[in-house]
Amino acid sequence: MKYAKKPSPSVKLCFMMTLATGLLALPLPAQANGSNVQATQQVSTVRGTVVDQSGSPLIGVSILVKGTTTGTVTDFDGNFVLDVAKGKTLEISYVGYLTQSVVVSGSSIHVVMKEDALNLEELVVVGYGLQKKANLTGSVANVDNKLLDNRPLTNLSSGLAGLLPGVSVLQSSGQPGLDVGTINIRGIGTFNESGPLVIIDGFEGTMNDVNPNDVESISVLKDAASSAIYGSKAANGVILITTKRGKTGRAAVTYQGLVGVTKATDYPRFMSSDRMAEVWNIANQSVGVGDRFTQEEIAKFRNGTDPDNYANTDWQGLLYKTGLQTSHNVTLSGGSESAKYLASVGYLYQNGIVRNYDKNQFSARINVDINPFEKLETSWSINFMRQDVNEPLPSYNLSTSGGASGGEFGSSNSVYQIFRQINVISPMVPYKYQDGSYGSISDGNPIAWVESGANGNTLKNNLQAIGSAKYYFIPSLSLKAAVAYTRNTNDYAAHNLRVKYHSGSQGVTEVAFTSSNYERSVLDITPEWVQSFGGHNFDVLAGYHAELYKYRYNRTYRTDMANDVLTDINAGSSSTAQAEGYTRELAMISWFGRIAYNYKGRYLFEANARYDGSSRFSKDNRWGFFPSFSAGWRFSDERFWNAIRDVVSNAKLRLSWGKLGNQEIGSYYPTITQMSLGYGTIFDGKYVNGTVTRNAVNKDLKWEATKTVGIGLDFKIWKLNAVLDWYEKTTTGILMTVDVPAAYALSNYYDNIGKVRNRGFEFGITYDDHHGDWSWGAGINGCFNNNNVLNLGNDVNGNPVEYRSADVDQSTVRNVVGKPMNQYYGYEVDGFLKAGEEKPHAEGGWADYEGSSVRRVGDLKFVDQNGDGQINGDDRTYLGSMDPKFTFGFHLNGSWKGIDVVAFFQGALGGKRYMGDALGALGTSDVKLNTLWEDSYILKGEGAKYPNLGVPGQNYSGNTGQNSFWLQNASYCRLKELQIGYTIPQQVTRKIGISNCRVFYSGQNLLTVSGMIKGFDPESPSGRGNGFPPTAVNSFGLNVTF
Amino acid sequence: MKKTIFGIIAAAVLSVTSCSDFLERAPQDALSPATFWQTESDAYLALTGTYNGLNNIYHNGHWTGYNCVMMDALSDNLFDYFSWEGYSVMTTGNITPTNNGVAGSWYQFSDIRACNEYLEMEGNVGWSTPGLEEQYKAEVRTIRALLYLYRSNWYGDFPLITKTLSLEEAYQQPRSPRAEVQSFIESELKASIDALPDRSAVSQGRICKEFAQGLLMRYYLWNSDYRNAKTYAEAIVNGGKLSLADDYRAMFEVGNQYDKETIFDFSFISNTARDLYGNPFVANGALGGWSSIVPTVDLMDEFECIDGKTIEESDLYDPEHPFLNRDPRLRASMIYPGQVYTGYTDSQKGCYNSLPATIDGNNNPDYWNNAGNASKSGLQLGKYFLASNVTSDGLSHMTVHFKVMRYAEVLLTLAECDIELGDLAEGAKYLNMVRSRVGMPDVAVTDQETMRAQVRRERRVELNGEGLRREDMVRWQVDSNGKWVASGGTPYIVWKFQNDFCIEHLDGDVENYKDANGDWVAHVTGRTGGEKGAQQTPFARENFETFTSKNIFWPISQGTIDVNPAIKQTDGY
Repeated sequence: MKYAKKPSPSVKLCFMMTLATGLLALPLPAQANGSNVQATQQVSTVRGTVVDQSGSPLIGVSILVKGTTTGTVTDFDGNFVLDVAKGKTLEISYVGYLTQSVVVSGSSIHVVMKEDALNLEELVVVGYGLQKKANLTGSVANVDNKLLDNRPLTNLSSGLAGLLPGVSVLQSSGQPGLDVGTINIRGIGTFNESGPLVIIDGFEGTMNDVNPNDVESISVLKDAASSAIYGSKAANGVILITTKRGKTGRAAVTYQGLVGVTKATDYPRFMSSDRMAEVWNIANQSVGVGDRFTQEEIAKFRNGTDPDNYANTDWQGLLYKTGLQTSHNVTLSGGSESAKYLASVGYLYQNGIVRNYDKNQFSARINVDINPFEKLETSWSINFMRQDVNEPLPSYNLSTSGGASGGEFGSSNSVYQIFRQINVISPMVPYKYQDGSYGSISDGNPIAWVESGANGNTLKNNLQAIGSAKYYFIPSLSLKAAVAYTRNTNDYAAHNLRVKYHSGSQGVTEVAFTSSNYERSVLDITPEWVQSFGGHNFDVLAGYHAELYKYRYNRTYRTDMANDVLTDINAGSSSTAQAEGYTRELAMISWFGRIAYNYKGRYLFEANARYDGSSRFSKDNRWGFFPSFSAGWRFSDERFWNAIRDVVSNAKLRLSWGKLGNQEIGSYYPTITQMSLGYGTIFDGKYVNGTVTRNAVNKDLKWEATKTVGIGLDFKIWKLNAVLDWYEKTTTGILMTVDVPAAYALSNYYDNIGKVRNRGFEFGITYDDHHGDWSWGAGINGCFNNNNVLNLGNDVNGNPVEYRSADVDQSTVRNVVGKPMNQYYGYEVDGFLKAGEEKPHAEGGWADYEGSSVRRVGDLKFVDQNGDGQINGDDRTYLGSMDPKFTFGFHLNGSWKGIDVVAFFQGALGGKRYMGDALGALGTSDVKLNTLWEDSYILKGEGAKYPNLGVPGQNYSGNTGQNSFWLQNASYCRLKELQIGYTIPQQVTRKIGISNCRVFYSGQNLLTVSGMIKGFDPESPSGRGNGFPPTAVNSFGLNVTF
Repeated sequence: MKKTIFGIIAAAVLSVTSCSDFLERAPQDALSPATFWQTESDAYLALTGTYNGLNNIYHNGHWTGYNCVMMDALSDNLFDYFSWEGYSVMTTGNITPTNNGVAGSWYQFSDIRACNEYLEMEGNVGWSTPGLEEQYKAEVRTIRALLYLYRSNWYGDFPLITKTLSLEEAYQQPRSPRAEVQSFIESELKASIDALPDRSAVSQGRICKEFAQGLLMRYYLWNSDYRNAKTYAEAIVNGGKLSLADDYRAMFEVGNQYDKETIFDFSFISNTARDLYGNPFVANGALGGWSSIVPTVDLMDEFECIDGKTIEESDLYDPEHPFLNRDPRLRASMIYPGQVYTGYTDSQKGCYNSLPATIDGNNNPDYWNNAGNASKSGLQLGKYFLASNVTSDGLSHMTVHFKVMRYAEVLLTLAECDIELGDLAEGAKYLNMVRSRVGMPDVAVTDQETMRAQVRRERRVELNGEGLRREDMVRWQVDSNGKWVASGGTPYIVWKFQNDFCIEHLDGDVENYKDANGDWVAHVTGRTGGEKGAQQTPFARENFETFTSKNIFWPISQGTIDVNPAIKQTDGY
């Protein structure tokens, strides 16, 4: 214990209290054998309780007999027991509170801790260690897990939304199993993988691998100074997740349970058949064509007397339902000073907001810390997570030619196709005929698909095992070795069915089994020297890292199934069997180090460096060096500050510079010349394998490099804690494919070309106070980010390449030099055409139908950008970026006695979205009308909000499509979470053996204000609107500690 | 203890770093060029790799890219309504460098490069089987000549590349004059013929002597060099390895594909890396097909009645029952209303019926404007997609053997050459060989002008849907009235698209009785669509008027020119 200079954090960081800090507060023993003299004195057992000013017990408070290394910590109820002689002084310390000294006089002690306004001892997790928050010189944000606990989170990433300045989380889907938010830190700096590196308990993982309930703390390393120690993988920032570990004290069992209902936040609304028929007639009249429907027919649509031929199907009503979500977590923890344990199991069930969709998740974790003897600390972790997702499948294009991977989980032909068809199929199509057979359009019938029982099952099993040992040669010098093994399997079984309709049928009865899995083996060795003398504090770390990543993909397939029920591959005909598979490997070796120095916590300096070698690059360009430097000055400690210290109690300036790498380019072997197999032909009816050289290689390929410069200011005025940061992050040598001349006849190759800069300002302000039984707090954070594409390379003539397609989206999005990334590209609209402005045939065409469109009064007026009197593809222009300029979050919390309330909001300003299909059009089968058209020019005339509606059979198009009119403002503010809890008084619960019991209500995504057209969610991805809608969740929960 | 810990850690570090290969990782699903090109089996793998390049001609990888059939969608035989599939923009002449349909993906060199790489590297192989090296080389050279033959027909001037290029060389590579490319094709094919085994000695789908001869025959015919075309056609006839299959219709059914008529085929085998996705070819109503590519009513009208007379002339022709008493090849070539077809229920009489808007009061999903995926002409492709070839479950993984070259084409080429060279009796002989197989009456030996029209009609009817029509429409010429001329006129394709082509559809219903073939008899009450001003993009006549002589050669995509400015755009674009 005495060597535990920097153990891992163990208690909630919310009130900046950790066991580790308690231990840290122990003076560094001068000698290893500082035994005390208690044998000669009267030793008796002292029992004590430590509470905060509101009377709540404090857990993990360090109790130390002054002048010795004897001590203990408080348990879950704030209690401690210590054998100590009377008259001795106990030093009681806790992060965030002022250290107290108490002289032992009786057999029981009650201590009330007072908060330390400056809170200089708070620890945060940083790369390969812990650091005092006060001594940080880089930009590190940590999550106050008061805002993570007890939320009905189905995944960790969505829990981060809105909590941290500069960390944006876009949760574009409510799809169980794929509802992981997309995280970007300080804007997007590359055209390649732009998500941060996620480190769980020291080793790479994914946010999805962790049960949110197991999380103790999250740190986000935002700048190069703090993340350079992760080198070539850290260019997009690093998220460090620390899981809960056992604490000294009696065993405690915690149960947390939640049950909630989910529904779509919103979805597009469409007109009924009879209204659509009326609008159709009006549209026809507007171009001098006779009515499409008679009044009798419209009446039939309305009164449902002939549902086979005059249907009015509520397709969305048939698909959507209220979902159920429930979770149960049990955690057991405890331990002695030499051995601590925590074991948890979690279960989560979600049935989606669509029929035949559900997810079962089971997770288990065991974290054990054993110090077998004085100089050795060991840690052991096993984490297992199983996710089992069932989804309905469309009969639409599932198996494609050659047995490609159509229909896989998350692909465009999975459940997404159902959402897309629901948004386009006309209400005039009967869901079922009177005889019970399904109606259909060319693309099928999405409800028939759902009801067919065609099922895609995804089974993910993720196992991570970690073992580490840290040996102290002398108290200031240690060596740590850690190994980790991760195995992640992802099995997808698709059972597709042929669906019969009233006329015809669709699809193929077949099974496809896809298995993709990876394993990652890692070894880390880190010697560390920590020493302080005369106000000089040193922490020097060195490290060696080796890892091997292996990926394997296999797919098998058969059709001609014996019947519609059997789902095994063997139930299909072997003559239809197909198989494909491959493996990929990535190996890395790294050397790294850090020197942190400070003088009296006033002058701070830190240097990090990492030297990485990757198998992805050729021998000569394999190694990359990633250094960083940062410095800090706590000028509030200077004498000149004395006058205003009562007001501004803390002020620190931070400066940093660093360089990071990124190597995630999709290809594992971009520098190896290959002759690809599988390019064969057919002789005499049999496929014969063949080989062709297809890929071009660039042996000079190397890392993308991102340089970050930052200036930060931390200060505290009265009760306001503020962090301000300005940064500039420039990525150069972005790995991009280079267009080769067609005659080269090999694929485009990768090269280090692009340059993107993100410049921004971010702030976070928190406020907490209490008075009597009342306590309250608030926090706000925001980040202005200015993204700018600086270079996209030069063409063969040396001229700068102007744009490249971003391919992030189903509609046209481009990257162009001089503008933010992900620009929409299309026509600019200048209101509606007025009388006299309509263009005759062939002069007002829209891109898809150049020269063959008529423009009418009330149609959109496209701007003739090049002034040639024609509207065609050349008149398209950049219409703005998808990505927001400003992201923000804020929260409010308060409590009174046992009642607590927290609400937090998240939002973004300045992004854009385009939704195509869901705008709709007139037609009897594969289109319908969004209700927004009630306010169209054709119905409302002057003053209408929307332009004319296209008339079927007439060539009037061009009013929908990607133009500035339909680019919606995706700015929004969302009530991400509202939670109201009540803690039953302990006097009551103790009687039944419960030390703590809290019941609560939680609402997620309850309220959204956005600039989008009604029915469209601002976090939904752009395009056809075929995503799984985000969901709103109302839950009740129970939290019990025994 | 310290020593032990140090020992363990040192061992762990060394176990990784001492192995200097730790950072050397190579794919396990691809070959390394450094160790390849040694054995005859290496050469065979690379040879089949060059055959794979034929995909770029006959199957462009897209669901709808079965070009062996789809190439006829660039002519008056077939039509692809869906603009996004890339054919209609080429048929209507609306093609531009930025909107160039499938022509964008057909401008390719990977296949040519594979051939060049083979020819450069094959010398390293330790050959032991006598004659094998020469045979393989001849196959590769024939493939390369075929690739150039198509591309110089499609694009005109085309880069002639006969070795693998460095990136720098590729950036400088211009288009070579078409004449230069064409003479390369001629000499390469001539040089290859002798090393190739004849048709009886090779697998179906593998290049034989007759195929190389046949390509030369096509090359000369397409250049109106009837004398040379006749020479190579006669060489095939005299080789004696081929003859006409007995049954025209059965020849296109799976199971009969190994016939005595096929010179070269391009196959799709279900559930292999090259199987056929059938949806684009079949009707919407029963199987959920897309009807992407459908025969035109214009093609339907070309078939004679069984008396050997055209529908304008024959007394047997009844416009209300147009499918009765016709050349049997009509029924073998297209699924017309009333034909019994896979997937149709009893209530639908088990037949394809695109004629009425409703059947039994229900919307008819095969009626041309009732569904996006209904055939816009009301006809469906029959050749290769006869009911016997199509099963509901197997639709997305079909086996089909497309015929790239068959003996009937050789005979019809001989007939055309003889007629153009003035030997009308000899021409009639070959023409009647092809006609008598399907029971059509002989043509009489008349005058050259009449027989020219006959052989041209015969070629369209016999070879429809086999990808040869566009080349014929380009080389044949007409006078200002649309009458066939030998030379000095307008390319027929330009005249027809500008003057006499649109997409019509048929209305009516099927009768309650069947014909001798067991099909329900179609009753056609109207032919509509396609009139000027009909506003049915791209149905209407004016949509095809944009086709001009510049459209004979296609533009190069703007992206290709942007990357390599040495490439000049095709004239007229």
